[in-house]
Amino acid sequence: MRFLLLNILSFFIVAGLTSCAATPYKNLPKLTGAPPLALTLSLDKKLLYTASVDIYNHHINGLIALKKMKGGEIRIAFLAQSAIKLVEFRCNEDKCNPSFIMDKIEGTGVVERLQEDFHLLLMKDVALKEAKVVLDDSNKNTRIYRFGRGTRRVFYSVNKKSGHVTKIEKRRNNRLVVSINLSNYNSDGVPLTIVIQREKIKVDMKLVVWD
Amino acid sequence: MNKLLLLLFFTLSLSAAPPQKDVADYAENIKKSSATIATLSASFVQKKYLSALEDVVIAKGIFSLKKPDKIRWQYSSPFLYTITINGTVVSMKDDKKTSQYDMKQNSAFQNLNAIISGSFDGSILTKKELFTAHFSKEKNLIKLELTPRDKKFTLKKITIYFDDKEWLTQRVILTEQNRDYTDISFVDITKNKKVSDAIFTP
Repeated sequence: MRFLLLNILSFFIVAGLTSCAATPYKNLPKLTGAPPLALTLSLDKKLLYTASVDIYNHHINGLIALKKMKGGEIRIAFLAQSAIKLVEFRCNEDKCNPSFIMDKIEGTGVVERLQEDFHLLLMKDVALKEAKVVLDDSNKNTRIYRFGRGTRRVFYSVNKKSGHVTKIEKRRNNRLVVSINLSNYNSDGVPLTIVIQREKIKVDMKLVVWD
Repeated sequence: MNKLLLLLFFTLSLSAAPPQKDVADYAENIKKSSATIATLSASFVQKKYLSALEDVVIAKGIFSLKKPDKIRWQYSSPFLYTITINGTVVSMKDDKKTSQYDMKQNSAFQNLNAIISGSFDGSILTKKELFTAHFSKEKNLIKLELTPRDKKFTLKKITIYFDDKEWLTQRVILTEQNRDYTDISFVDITKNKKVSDAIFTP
């Protein structure tokens, strides 16, 4: 009987911890007067990242090139390492739309996921124009900007000192859908490393010099 | 050989074509040259033109080939990355991970490999089921344009430049169905230098 009680107690403790882990922002105090969220990626210069992609049981290496064009449109090309273009996006004020998809990857769901990830990275979503709530995580010296309402929410974690976005999380019904970690910012305010993690998909991006 | 010449003659545009004797000579010279190659090493510069971004991504590295079926592309700038082909096994190694698969499972890669290695070992001229061929001369270079018969093939056109002395591949341009293309130039080409089997094993 005692053993059973201990088991039940353990279950509730574990369940409680899991629940907290699933909603890490739940009990954070709100901040007032926080500065608006700066753009996640500075595209004053064109950017080239190597991309190591683990998708289900496959591994792909490639390159992701991002460039802001004269009219302000951001264009993104995802190439295989053999230089063949796999997918291309054109991002205007609010949307990133695919302008090219290699027939072999069409319908695999990869494009839609990449599109969602670039939306988050470039904040190309009407719902993300203005944060409704800003939370304060003093322990991590972090401000958290919360967007969206209801069951769909996006959280941008910003280092208070540098102002750099360090993490982006998209949650649906409090369940983590995608997590993007940005680290090692250079003097231009560009993250040298971006890691995008979804269920069964991981994209590891590293900035390289694009002459 | 007769079949090969027949293919070349049929695919030549009459107005722009060099005399038929020259065409036969080109094919023959490329074949002869490739027969003398056991190993090959070269530095390469790969320029990827991205039409939508109106920009070029330049990568550099070393290319190695050992007949009959070993190839290595070692990228050193702006990223470290190595692709090796040993028989039908393709290995790709970045700074973190090595992945391998059987080329037979990836027809696109198989075709690409057939183009690049085939331009060096001459076997490209025998892939008549895949391409139509057109030769022309530009200064001291012989230009071979291959058009895939399969209109859904990733590439719209493959252009290969050979020098007219040693008949070695100097440049390969892979034009995609969109307006993008990859321009690979080979320099410091060395023929039949000792190349260890070990470099083809990741």
